Amino acid sequence: MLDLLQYEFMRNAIVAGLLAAVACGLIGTYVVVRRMVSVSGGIAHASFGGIGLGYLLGFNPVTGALVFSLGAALLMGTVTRRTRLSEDASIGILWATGMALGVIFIGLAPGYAPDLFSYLFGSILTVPTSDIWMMLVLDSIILLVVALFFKEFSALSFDEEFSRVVGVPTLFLNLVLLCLIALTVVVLIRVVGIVLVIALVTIPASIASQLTRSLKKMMLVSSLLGAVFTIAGLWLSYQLDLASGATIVLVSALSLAATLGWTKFKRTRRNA
Amino acid sequence: MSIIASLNNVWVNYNGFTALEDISLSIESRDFVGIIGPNGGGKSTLLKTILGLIEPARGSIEILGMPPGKASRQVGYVAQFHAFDRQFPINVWEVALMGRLGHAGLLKGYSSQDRDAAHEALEKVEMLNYKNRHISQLSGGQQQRVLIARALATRPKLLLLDEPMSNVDSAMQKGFYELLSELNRQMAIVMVSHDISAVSQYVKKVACLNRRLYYHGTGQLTTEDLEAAYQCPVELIAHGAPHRVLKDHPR
Repeated sequence: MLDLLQYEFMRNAIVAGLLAAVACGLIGTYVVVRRMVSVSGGIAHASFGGIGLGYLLGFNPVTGALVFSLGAALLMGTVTRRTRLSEDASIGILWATGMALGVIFIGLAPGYAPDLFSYLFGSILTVPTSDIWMMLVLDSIILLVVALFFKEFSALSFDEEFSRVVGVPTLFLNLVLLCLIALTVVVLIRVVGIVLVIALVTIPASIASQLTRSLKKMMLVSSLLGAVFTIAGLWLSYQLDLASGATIVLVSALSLAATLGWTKFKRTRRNA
Repeated sequence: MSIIASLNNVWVNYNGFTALEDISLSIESRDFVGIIGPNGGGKSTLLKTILGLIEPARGSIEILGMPPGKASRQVGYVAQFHAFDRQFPINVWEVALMGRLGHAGLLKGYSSQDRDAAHEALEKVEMLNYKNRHISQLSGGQQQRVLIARALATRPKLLLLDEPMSNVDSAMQKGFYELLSELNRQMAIVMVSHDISAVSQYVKKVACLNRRLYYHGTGQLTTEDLEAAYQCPVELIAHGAPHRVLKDHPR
């Protein structure tokens, strides 16, 4: 694998994988402990509208995805509070509406959208350096905000009502957390694509939750696991000539299955 | 005795119907008020209104001279033992510290004062030795003690408890009530419960709530109060002195 490092696209791919691992470790932990998986799926898919707008108006589709995912996050956080729509329904509606907008925008764009597939299913080997910089900035924002509000986010995730009672601005912090999920989605789009984002958000954190008993350790372990999965998936996809995003997801899923099998085995042995 | 909380003609609408009707209640600094009543009678809603989690439609509420919600640093709250995730990655110490969130403030860590308060609270409920335990490693009664410690960490003048015994096995309940009686020397306590007999032994005043509040600021309720609240004839059971919920009555 070392000889591959002489290629810029391979170095970029590895850096992108590591940056993705940081975001999914930090935010994936909250998504898993707060059960926000479907919200994250909704935000991810809604961002497709921004990809389409980027094609139509000729700017970087990832920038479009950033605007749309943040918009979807803010809408999901406010719509259920202001209307009688259930959270479940609003997630589904934003999910599909964002995708539909993307399809319409791409249809209206002149010509043919060559790397559309890479936004949907990821293409870690073609991440341009400019996107690496963007991922680095987003990762830094995520890390900074999590560090600033760590005790409030933890409390909010464990017991939202109590947090409100002691005066934590829960409405505001919920919106902030949704926006961080939106940023995470954007960091992950280039690596695994919109459709598969949810796997990297949930799988490393789910494995980490089996192995750790504190939020900080869970974040650390899921970041490390995310790094291992993206690099291993990248290498495997290169060797076997498979789609990189899908291979990363399958490596993660198999590791989760192995962890669950192992913890179950240990438990039955202890009880026997 | 000073007034800790006062509610004047408070009405609350919840999900489109009237949950609380014309509630007036005042709580003094060493009160221990038990609120009983049928399920759906608004007991939890009353506590949430006092906490400022629910806005009243009419009437006024003052907690320590402030509107509810503003007094959060001086009110401790133990919610009904809801299904919080026992696998959540958090230990006893971290739960107790949550009581200090309002004091610590945003963008700052917990101060040594916050740590002292959490330490003291865990000591009071005899859970300090478990401070590094993960919450899933505790019994139901121990978890409840930790939740009380979290409320005490705010150093409250008013402690609100919603069905605190629901997760405590009956053998442990006596110790629990003794803990509450001891805490009552330093703060006013309002406890919601459906367990009339338990309430009768430890609280100083009893109120009955079924949308309306039946309360005379004493330790006794009348047959009429209970029948009005439960909307059915209530069989009266008189307990021995010194505490009595129901008046003596002819059999």
